[in-house]
Order: sequence, then structure tokens, then C-alpha cells
Amino acid sequence: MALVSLAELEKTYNKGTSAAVHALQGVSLSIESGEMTAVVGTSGSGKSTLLHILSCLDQNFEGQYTFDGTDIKKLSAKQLSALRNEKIGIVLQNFGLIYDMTVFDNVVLPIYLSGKHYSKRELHQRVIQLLQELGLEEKINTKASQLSGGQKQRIAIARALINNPSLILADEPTGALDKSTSNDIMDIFCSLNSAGRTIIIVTHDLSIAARCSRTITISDGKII
Amino acid sequence: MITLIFTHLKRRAINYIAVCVELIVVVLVCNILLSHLVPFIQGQQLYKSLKLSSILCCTTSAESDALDIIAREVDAKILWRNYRGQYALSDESLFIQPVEKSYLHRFDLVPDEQISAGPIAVVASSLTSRYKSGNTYTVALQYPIGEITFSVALSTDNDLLFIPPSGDAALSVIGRHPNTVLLALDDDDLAKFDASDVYTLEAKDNDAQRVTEILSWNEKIIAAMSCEDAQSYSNSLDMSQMGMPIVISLTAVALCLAGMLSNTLLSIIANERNNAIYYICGYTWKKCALVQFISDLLIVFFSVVMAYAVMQILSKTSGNITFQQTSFLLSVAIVAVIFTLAEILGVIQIAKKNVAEIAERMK
Repeated sequence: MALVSLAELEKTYNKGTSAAVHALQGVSLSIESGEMTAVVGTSGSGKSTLLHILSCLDQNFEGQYTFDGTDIKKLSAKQLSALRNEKIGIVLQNFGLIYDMTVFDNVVLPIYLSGKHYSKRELHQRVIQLLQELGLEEKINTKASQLSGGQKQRIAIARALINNPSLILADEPTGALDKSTSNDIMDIFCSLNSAGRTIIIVTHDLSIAARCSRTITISDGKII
Repeated sequence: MITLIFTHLKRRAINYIAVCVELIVVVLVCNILLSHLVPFIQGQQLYKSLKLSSILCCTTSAESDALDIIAREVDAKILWRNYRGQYALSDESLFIQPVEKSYLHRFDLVPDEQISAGPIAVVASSLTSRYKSGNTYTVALQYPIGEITFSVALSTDNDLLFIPPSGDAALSVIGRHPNTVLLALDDDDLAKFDASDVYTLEAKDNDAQRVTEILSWNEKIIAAMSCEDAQSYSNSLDMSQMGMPIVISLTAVALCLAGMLSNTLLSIIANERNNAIYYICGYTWKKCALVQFISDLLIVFFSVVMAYAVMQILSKTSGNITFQQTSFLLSVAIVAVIFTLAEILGVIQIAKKNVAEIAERMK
């Protein structure tokens, strides 16, 4: 069974008005576990809208979206937030870190939000393990504001991984980084994929897409 | 959630200080406003109780002969006024103004040899028939002070200026306010009094009210006028006196309120981004709003506690500052209104969420 399955997905902004915009039209796709997929398209093509739906931030669409066998439209707000927390890790172009928090607090944020109780030692071990994989263990007590762009993005990846999600969604993860740092970040995504993680990267950079095993091109809200 | 709230509070420590400072300023301003408004309102109440058809007789005289003439010839009520604008309807009422004994010495108000141990009093010469210089008297003051014994150090017809320990800007002119007794106390006795207040003898406490400004300038007597005219005249005097302090006070309050509002709005904007991050990481909007509400409530609570503590310390360490409980409560009420408005705004912001806005907030 596919991890992500979209069938005839439609999304219209300002529906029913003269300013209606059809952001997605009849999008159907299926992504298996362990795939590393790039969604490419020009600005305004609908790729961000697709990402918002895939990441369960937007439930207001037509068609069907099944995640790991669950029909997303049937979930309540609480169930949807639990799904985002446990099964989806989101990495954003602008990192989405809370800058006056330490690296440790940023990484464990999804655990804080889940309400699950772990001992301090357990949490610390988990964060250290992730930061070691990303080469940032010495920054554990540093404030997020004091990190470089590449380091911030690696912390954002660590946060996305903390709950061991089934899917990692990255929205232009290298958009705010230089070429060399972008390559480092893509190396991390590739090694995560090699370890069996499912990754979807939304990008307009074809060199980034080239490093993914599959590329989906979207134009005017349609997959081409 | 507790961890999040705690983290939130740590981040916003500066907000405590800002709200605390603004609160103290508002309390001080309310103090000034109340000191003008309360006597004014009391005056209005007194006019109402006297009825507009009454004839009032206003005088600066304290001589019993002159007062007898007034009472007999004019058939009017005689009102006694102290320096704070409070009035009594009977010449048996006394306004007792407590003051730190050291002030008498510091400002050479009373000769050193007259400053004895224990409470001492300075009285207007008009009171010498009741309180003779060098004698000791025991009087019952209004609740909660009880009885107090003092010896009369000096009687005076001259203007006797002093600065009350409260730092009140008003200067007492005992000579012109014959029913006011300046009671100089040691620190221990002074602690029993609220230094900013004026006390009256227990039996006559109900009569202490404000009515009008002194109407005759150099003459001892006399102006008899209708209550309606007196009210109108008094109001015009009050307005001319109150105008500037009220404008300044309202400006200060407006600036503080603007500070509080902008502070709160900035915090709402900061919260928007955090809430968007919490939402993306798996929180519901309801929980985001709850974290924000509890954190803001705690910030306001801690700020009020801090402000209260700072005011208590200032009152204790500096004799020149006195905070009225009413002013504090009024200020807390203002803060509570702003807090409520801010929370409503915050909830509206959260409720308006959509995906595009979430993405926008992340930038």
C-alpha cells in the first residue's frame, strides 16, 4: 500500500467568486514508502499548495488524500494535528525555528507538543543521537539565533526526525542556503532516504531534483 | 504544555518589566487624578445635601465674635475648611494632619526648645481657647487610630508651611485653616497613620466635606451666597485648578496605555510566528491559544505582583511617595481591560488562520 495516495485532488482559492484561482486540478499521484521524490514547478504552479495538503496543514480540498491508509478528510482537527506530530516531519525554507530557544528545545518541540512524557535523560539521549548524525552535537545548548543558515536547516531536519515520522516533507529546504551548504543538506536527505525514510522535496531547483529518485513536475496546478 | 508555557515566560521576561513600569506610572497618575477628583465629587455631594436653596456663608475668620455675628445676622451655615479642601459644618471638628516630627526641626517651623518627647501639636491661634500652648491633651481620632495624647508646642496665626511626609505637593497653611492641627509624631507613632490622609475627631467625622474656595481675600468676612452660586463659583475654581493636572495625567495615562497596547500587540505578532511553528509541529490552534492565554495571564499576574512589591518598597524607603490602594486597584482594572482586549485580538488572529497565513508567518 502506498504511503501517500492522491486521487483527483482539486484546490480552488476564492471559490465561487470572480477571483477564483484553481491551484490544483485533478492531481493524482502515489508515493511508496522509501521513495525520495522531488516536486518541481515554477512559481505559482501549485507546488506549495500541494505541499500544504500533503503535510495536512490544509484539509479544505476536493478529491481524496490517503496517508498510510487513513482518509485525511475524515480526521478531526485534533486527529490531524496528532498525525502531523507523529507521522510527518516538515522542513521549511526559512527553517521555522524559534530563535530564542536553544537547539535542544527546538529539536524536542514536537515531543513537548505531543504531550508524551519522557525522562530528561531519554530526551537528551535522543537529541544527542540525532545531532551526532547531523554533526551538531556540540551546539545542543546554543541558541538557534546563533547558528549559521546550514546549521539552522540541520536543526530543522533534526526536529522533523525527532518523532521518527513516516514521511519527511521539505519545502525549498535549500532555498535560503548557498551552493555548498545546499549540497550538504541534500547529502543529509539522501542518507536519510538510504536509511529507508520517505522524503518529498518541493523545489524549483532542477539540480536538487536531480538528486531525487523520482521527479514530479507540476504546472498550472496539473501534474505533467 | 507546562514546558511550553515556562519557555514562553522565560523568553518574555522583558515584558514583565515593561508592564510593571507602566503599571507604576498609571498608579501614580491615578493617585494625582483621585486627589483632585475625590474632593470635587465630595463637594458635589455636599451641595446636593445642602440643597440649592440654602444660603452659605464663607469666611476666613476664626474669631468667635465674627462667627457669632455671621451666625446671628446672616442665618447661614458656617463651613470650616482645611488645606486639603475638606470642610466641616461645625467649629468643633478638627482636622488632624500627621507629620514627621523631624520636619519641624528641619524647616525651623517650631523652636527647638518646644520640640519635646512624644507627639506635639501646632495649632492655629483661634484654637488656643481649646488647646493651650504647653498643655497636654488626649483626643479620640477616627477609626483605626483611636486615642492619641499630644502636647501643644506652638500656636500660630502665621502661615506655617510644611511638607507632609507623603510628599504631597500641597503646602499646609495652618494660619488660614483654623481647624487644622499639625500633629508632629515620632516614627513609631507615625506608622499608625496614613501620612497622606487628614484625620478628624471621631464625633465629627461625617461633617468633613469640601464645599468651596475661600471667597474673601483680605477681609475676615464675608460672603454670603446661595448654594447654587457657591457651587458654580466653586466648580469654576476647581476646574481652573484641576485642568492642567488632569490634562497632564490623562496624557501620561494615554502614553502608558499606548505603551501597554503596543507591547501587547508586539507580543501577539511574536506569538503568531510561534503559534504557526507549534501548529506545523502538531499542535491544534486551540492549544496554541491556550498556551498564549496562560502565558499572558501569568505575565500580567507577575507584573502586578512586581509592581505592588516595588510600590511597597518605595513607600517604605521613601517618605515622599504614598500609593493609594484605590489607585492601584484602578490601575489593575485598566491593565485587566487591556489584557482582555489583547487576548480577544490574539484569539481573533488565531481564528483567522489559513494555510497561506501560516506560511506567511513563518517568514
